Order: sequence, then structure tokens, then C-alpha cells
Amino acid sequence: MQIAVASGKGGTGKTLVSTCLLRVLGDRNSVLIDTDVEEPNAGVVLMQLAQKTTKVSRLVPEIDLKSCNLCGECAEICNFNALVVLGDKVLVFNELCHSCGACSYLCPLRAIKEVEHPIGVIEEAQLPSYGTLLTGRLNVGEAQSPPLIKATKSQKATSTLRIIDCPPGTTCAMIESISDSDYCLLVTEPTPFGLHDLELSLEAIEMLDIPGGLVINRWQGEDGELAALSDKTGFPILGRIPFSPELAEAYMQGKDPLEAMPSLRGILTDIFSQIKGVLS
Amino acid sequence: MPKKIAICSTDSSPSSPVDGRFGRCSYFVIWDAEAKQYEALSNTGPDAAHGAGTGAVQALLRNNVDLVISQRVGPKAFEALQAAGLKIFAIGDAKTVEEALQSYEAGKLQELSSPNN
Repeated sequence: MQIAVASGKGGTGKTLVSTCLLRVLGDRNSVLIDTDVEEPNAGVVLMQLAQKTTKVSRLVPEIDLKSCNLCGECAEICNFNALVVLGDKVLVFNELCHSCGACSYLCPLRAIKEVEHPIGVIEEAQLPSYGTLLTGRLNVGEAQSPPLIKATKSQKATSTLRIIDCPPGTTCAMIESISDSDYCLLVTEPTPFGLHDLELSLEAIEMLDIPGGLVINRWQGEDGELAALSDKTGFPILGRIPFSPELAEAYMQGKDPLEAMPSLRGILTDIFSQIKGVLS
Repeated sequence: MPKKIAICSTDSSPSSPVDGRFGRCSYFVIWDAEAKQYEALSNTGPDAAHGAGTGAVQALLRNNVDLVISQRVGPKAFEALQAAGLKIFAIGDAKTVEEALQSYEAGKLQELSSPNN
């Protein structure tokens, strides 16, 4: 089972929910995958350092100027304008390249070969009694995260329970993170921003045909407009995490949120059984 | 002396208002100093998801442009323009394509020495 924990708006509590869910379930064979590769923080929250690091690269073109006659075919083909053919050389902009390989495949003189361009690392940490943490960490300055997210998700593919701590937003990074998931748990908050971005996220998971449900974090007694959205879209509210300055304080100090708010355990157990119910 | 000067423009005519953006301007109006005439090059940049700047540089090279008048140029486009040996001048106060060209010819425009977008 793969559960993606996403949100739309940032800072609603994806990492809180995913790390606590992992702790509550306490399954040694489970995997938490942090795909917020631009700023992964599940490891910070769980206070775990990487025990194993694997480098990840993607392919970019390299021009052999001895064979190249500057015909310009590669720049013509490239959908992302990653190549600029000048009078005496070819410029390659790796950050624009999407590694499709078309330039290399279609070069009439076979003057382009694909070489590895490092984009980031996958860090692995064994967690005490509740599984493994996999963290994708993008190199600073690297613009495209989906190839690293894909590589990070390809690890430990056979684990029975995989929880994905997704990046915020509804861009390619979020789509890559939630794709192939059995369920998408959307963490939101009762604010206009939370509502607005949640609507976008719901559209995304509908397009990908992934079943989903909502968790309202920092709940203050009323569902407000989130109830109307849930009714309208048919995505159920699976749980509510009450607003608690004590929880926030403990979380920021690296303490176990389940101790700061013991009721959180029951809330998450209930959410998980509802998800299992939908998927069975 | 440059033979072909491209000015970033919002439309296809010499009287069109200038466009401050380089990669995503709507048109390049190109002044051919030898033929003493303008031609308009529609820019695909506004619709490009990525690489509007580098794509615009390639299009200008195909049209043998050797000088660009623009307001804001990003780092990748600037690198490509420099590598290709094209000079880049800032539009300054000019409002239309014609005004920008006249200001350049009068020596009133500043050359850009680094990306500014």
C-alpha cells in the first residue's frame, strides 16, 4: 500500500502527519519517502542522519565538436531550447535539458552522446522499530526535481507500506510524488489559503484517478468552508487535528508530537483504518 | 558597424511600443542597416514553457542579427548572446522601436555588461 501525504499549501502539516503516522503504525517493514527534495525535513523531525547515500544522475547531451558540423538540427529538435548552436560551437544548458535524448538520437552525424549529470542523492536511514526513511535531496542550483523524486520512489518498491511525504504545490514535483499511489491524504488547514490550494490539489488527484481524503490540521472546532468543499467534491474529511500551541512547541523542539498530544495517536489510527477500508 | 539590429517589440511595426523583456517579447523588429529596411520576426518565446531566452538567441542567430536592443535579459540568454558575440544595449527611455534605434544610432544607449533579469 502506498499513501501519498500531500497538501497544496505549504506548512499545513504533511511532515507532521506522515512521520506520526509512521510512528503510530510501528511497522518495521514500512518506508517513509521524503520527496520534498528541495527541502526535505522528515529526517530533521525524526532526528535521523543518513546511514547510506546513493548518488543520482540524469543524462544530458555532450557534443563532440570534431564530428559536429554545426548544422543546428539538435537545437531545432529540442523542445526546451537547451541547445544553442553558434558559429563555432554548441552551448548546452543542462538546467533546461529534460533528458529526453532526442538530440542525441536524431543528430545526423552522431556527434552527440549522453553523459551523466549529477542531480542529487538518496539518503537511507533505519528508524528505531518503525521502518526505513528514504530522503531525496536535490543538489543546490538544480532546477528539476521529478527525476530525483522518481529515483527515490523506485527504492524499496516491494515494501508493504509506503508513505510519501510530498512537496507542497501542484506542480510536476507533487504530481510525480503522488503518482502510482493507492491513496492520497491531503493535509489542510481552516484558512482561505488552505482552502484555495486544497481545491487545486483535489483537481490534480481527480485527474490522476487517485482516491483521497482530507485531514484538517490546526482545527479550531469548525470545519467551515472545508465541509462544503468536501460535500461538493465527495472527498471525505477523515480526521481533525486540534490547534495546539503545545504540540507546535514540542514539534519545533524535536520532541515526539505523540507525547505532546496523546490523542493524535487515536486520530491517526482512525484515519489509517478508514483508508484501509476504502482500499479493501 | 552592426549590420542587423534586433529591437524587442510588442508588435511587428517600427512604430510599435518596445517590449522590455528579451526572451518573452512578442516580436523582434530587425533593422537591416545595409538594405535600410525593417523586418519583423515573431518570437515563439511567449508560449515557451522553458528556454524562451536561449530559443530567442538561436532565432536571432538564424537571422544573422549581430546586436540586440532590450531592457531585461536573463542569465542563460545573456551567456548565449555573449558566447555568440552579440552586443546587447538597454532600451533606456525610448518608447517605440524607431525611437530605440535612433537613440542607439545617436550613441545614447548603454551596453549591458551583465544579466539583469
